[in-house]
Amino acid sequence: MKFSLDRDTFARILKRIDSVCSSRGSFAILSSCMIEAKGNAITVTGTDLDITLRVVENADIIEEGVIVINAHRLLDTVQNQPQGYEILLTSEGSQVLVEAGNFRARIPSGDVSEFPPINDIQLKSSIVIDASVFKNLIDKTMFSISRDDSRADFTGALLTIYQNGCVQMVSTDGHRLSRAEANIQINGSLPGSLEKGVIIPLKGLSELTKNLFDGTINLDVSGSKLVVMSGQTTFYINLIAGQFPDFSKVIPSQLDHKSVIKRDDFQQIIKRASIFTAKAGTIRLTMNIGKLEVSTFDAKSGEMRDFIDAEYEGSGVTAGFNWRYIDDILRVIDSEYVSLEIIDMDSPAVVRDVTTDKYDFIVMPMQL
Amino acid sequence: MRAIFHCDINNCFASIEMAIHPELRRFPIAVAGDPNERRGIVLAKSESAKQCGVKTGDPLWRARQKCPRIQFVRPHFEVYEQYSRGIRQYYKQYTERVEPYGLDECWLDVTTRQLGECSCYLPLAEKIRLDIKRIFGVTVSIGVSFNKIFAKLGSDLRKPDAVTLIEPEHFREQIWPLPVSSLLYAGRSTVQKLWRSGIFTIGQLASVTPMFIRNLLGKNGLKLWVYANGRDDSPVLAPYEQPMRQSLGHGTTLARDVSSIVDLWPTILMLSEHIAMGLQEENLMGFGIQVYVRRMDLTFQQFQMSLDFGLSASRMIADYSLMLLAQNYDWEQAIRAIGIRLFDLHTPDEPHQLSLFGVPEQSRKNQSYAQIDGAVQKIRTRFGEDAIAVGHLPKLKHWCHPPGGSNL
Repeated sequence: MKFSLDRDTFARILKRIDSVCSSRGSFAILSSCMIEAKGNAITVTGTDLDITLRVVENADIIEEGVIVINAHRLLDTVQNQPQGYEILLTSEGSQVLVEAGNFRARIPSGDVSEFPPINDIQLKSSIVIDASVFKNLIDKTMFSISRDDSRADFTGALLTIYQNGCVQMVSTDGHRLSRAEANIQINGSLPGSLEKGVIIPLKGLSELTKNLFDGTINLDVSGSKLVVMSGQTTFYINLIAGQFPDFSKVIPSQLDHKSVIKRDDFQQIIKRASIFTAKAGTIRLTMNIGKLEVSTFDAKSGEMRDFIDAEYEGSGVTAGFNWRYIDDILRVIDSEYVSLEIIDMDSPAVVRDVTTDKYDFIVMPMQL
Repeated sequence: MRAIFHCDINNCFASIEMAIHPELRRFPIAVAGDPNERRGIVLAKSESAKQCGVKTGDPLWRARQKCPRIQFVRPHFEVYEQYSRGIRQYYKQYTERVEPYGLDECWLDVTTRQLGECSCYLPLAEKIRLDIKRIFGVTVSIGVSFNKIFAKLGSDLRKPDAVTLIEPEHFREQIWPLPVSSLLYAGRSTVQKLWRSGIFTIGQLASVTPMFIRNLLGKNGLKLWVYANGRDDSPVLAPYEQPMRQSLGHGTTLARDVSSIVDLWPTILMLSEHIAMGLQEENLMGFGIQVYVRRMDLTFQQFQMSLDFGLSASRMIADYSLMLLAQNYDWEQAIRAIGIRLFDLHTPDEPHQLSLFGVPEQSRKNQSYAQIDGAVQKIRTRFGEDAIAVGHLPKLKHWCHPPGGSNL
């Protein structure tokens, strides 16, 4: 195998591949990538068995063939060459010769037959979505995915696509829940599993946000894998097998205590309050006519009290919250004003973007 | 100037056994586990056994080899705990600043405005030493000094049944010639590093520059240097200042290796009951649970999970332990020892995060089981430990699912 490719393109591909490759090193082969040169393009594949990324790029193929090589080593080698250089890769038995300008290096190559086989999946009834729309759904929900492996169902976000064109993504860690939706055009039939909903693991989502830029993406489900195609890049993500909790019950339908607050003010007052919280991060929010009051008390950190203007006309209501949970939500809302709806001390509270009803952010209070 | 006592009950377990059974005083004795249950090692020894060379951790045969007249006594940990609590209560008449260090050691800050020098407190130390011997039938060695570290060193210097004074004017002569390993918190690897740098005595440690020791051992090294120079100013903590317990657990070596979960259940229940009692005493709940097992080949494995609610009832602790094992242990090897530990401990009145999905059910279940624990405890207090016990095994089908159904 022998091909040449410019340094910038090659480094960009390898950076993305390296981020997917397993760093844990339980299997040496998983820290390697496979490069196949065929026709007038190379296909670079990296996997950690849960996520597989495949990138196709036009290159100057001198001799067709396949190699397996340590992704990180190759990335390091390539990105440290001067910009604009041509990189020439030649396989030489159990080594790969890397050349660029005066630079020559030989990197040991792996056994191609050991590389996990990636079945080419033909997209049958794929859904087309704007990359920016899909990325926004991920951004709005990724923060509330559970990091606790003991509850596998919670370690991913639920993606559901309805026949009417509504795409919904939901995530929860058991204490809070985020839901975001968008509308798309659906032409043709919908994969059944997408209509029922699939759970995409956190790492898969975070790789997707790093790699989705513009244009459109094609989505499909094949067996237990989600296939995401964006231009020359294809992701195969193992879905989480499990039952996502029935979240429809936890989104409060009727709310009597709704207050509208300037987002920046809300964010700042919470930050000020957080200085006076213990490890659990409890703050007390009180909604009163025309204002939102924030107070904390901790024997070690001290106490504080502060309020900001809010549009509110109901009776006084108080509940305790983990300030980080509220802060996480305010970070992903783009509008100038947000609404906060607190029912009582034991019921879920809702934070919303006032300009749209496409997002719901639910937080359970802390029992004070 | 502070006046700090460090009181150390000499050969604690063995002394308490001899206080309860005076007939044992004629023999060298060792408190040791049951060899039939594979716990046949020396846990504590009396002064005379110590003189024969018997060491903690010796297997019974070796102890007998060293000291043919030795008598072995089974441990009674509840009794030791009672003694320990009683003695602490006694200390508390002199100061509220009583900080326990294990079952058998305590620091006391007895500083009063009337008395000046450390030596002025010697009569009090003597009184405590004699009182403890008279009331509890065990001896203590007491270190009297101006900081905690030297007080502890003092109680180690002369034992048993002695009072040792280490004054600011004289500590250099008394303490500095001692090996650096006798300093509190100087562990084996730290000491070896010091040796390699030619530091063998506390005096040598005290005389190097703080920069040198910081480079050699880091921040903790600097602490040791401060101790060696008699500059430790850490306070003796009153009970309300002592850091809250981080975790609570119990473990045991099984009488024989166990290769099925059915055979393990009674042990899990027993450990869970112990933990539940401990939690109840301190009014705590655990939001995380860990099970650790030592396998037949002495390798070690542990499994843990965090929970949305606090565990406190014995049956719930047992159920969750079982679930952790059932879901994670491969049974390629039989289990030799098992332990259960609850972590992320909170009191019920602390603020805690509520959950979105159905967990209150588990929490309610825990509450009702905790009530049963309370009732069982009452029966035991009135009619004795053996009056009531758990008498059934759980149904197999529950074992691979969260206890009491799904988590959601």
